[in-house]
Amino acid sequence: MGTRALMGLVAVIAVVAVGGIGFAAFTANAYVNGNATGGIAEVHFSGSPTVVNTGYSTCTVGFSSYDDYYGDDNVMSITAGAFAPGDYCQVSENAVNGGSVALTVTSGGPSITGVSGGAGCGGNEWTVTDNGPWGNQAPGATFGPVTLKIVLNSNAGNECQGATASFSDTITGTSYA
Amino acid sequence: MTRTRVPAVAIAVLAIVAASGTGYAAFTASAYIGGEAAAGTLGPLTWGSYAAYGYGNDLTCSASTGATVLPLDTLDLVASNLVPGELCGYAADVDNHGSLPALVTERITSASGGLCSQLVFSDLGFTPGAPISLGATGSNSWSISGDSSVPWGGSIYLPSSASGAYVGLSCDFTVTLTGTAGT
Repeated sequence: MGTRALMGLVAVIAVVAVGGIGFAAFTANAYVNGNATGGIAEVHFSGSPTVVNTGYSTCTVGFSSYDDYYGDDNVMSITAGAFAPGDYCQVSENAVNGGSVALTVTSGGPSITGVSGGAGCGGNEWTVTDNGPWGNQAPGATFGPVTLKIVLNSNAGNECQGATASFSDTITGTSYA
Repeated sequence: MTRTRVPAVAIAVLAIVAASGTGYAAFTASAYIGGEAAAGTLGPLTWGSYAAYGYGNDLTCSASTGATVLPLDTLDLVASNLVPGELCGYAADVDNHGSLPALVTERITSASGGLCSQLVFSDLGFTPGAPISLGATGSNSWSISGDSSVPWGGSIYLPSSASGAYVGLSCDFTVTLTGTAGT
């Protein structure tokens, strides 16, 4: 190709590039803007507990917050004693689905986590139970009461005199679709 | 047409992922319950926050504390020179050193016959009284609160109906107080 011809081709390409000759279209757009926020799962205790204790035993209840989204009271602490065999302490307390999503509420299963003192007194001499599960709970719903009962079994002997049992339970709400 | 061969390893990974449910999650929140429960202590039961003593007319009545198993767990009573119709009285305090209330029951053990068949013992449990040789069980259970004491009074009585056949005889007996707590 000669120099003149080559220059002519370059000129044509330049004109086409600048002017867009040969291609045009109407366009129209529609848009979707969105914002998605995760829901909040939260469970806490509410109200005044109902305490039932037997014999000469005492039973005190306190509340605090642990890792709760709103800082509400989601920890219930029970101090009970002095038990004789057969004595128990039972605490009932309402709970609330304080979050924004529906929850299925279950019990982690109460358990004796340790026994100290005494002379051979072990976990078999104590029984701790709750009344879970507590079913599906809508946001804002108050449910329960959640009831926990700690018993020094009637068959506990002198080996349990002065013994102290520690116990724990977890109430878990799980979101469901 | 060229076919791409899927490696067997990739298929296995997919199968594992599918089986394990990976990709499913849920929000959870928990509330917690924790605590401690303490058993109380029962006893020991001992005598003697105040000195024990005995009293009677024209006879020897004395009371002192000693040890059968634990120091001060035993009250020794003496009634000497009894004649029919006479009574030795005693006073003491019984102490519950435990944190639990003790429900106290009693039982008399002794030899049978002889002077023991005539003597009558009375106190908080044996009210109005029980013949010593019958091995009776106290019928009036009484309670001692935790970490406290109660006054105790008792007596040994030789009824007027006793005959001279018991002159010079003696009777040893034991009253066992048992404290219980619980249901």
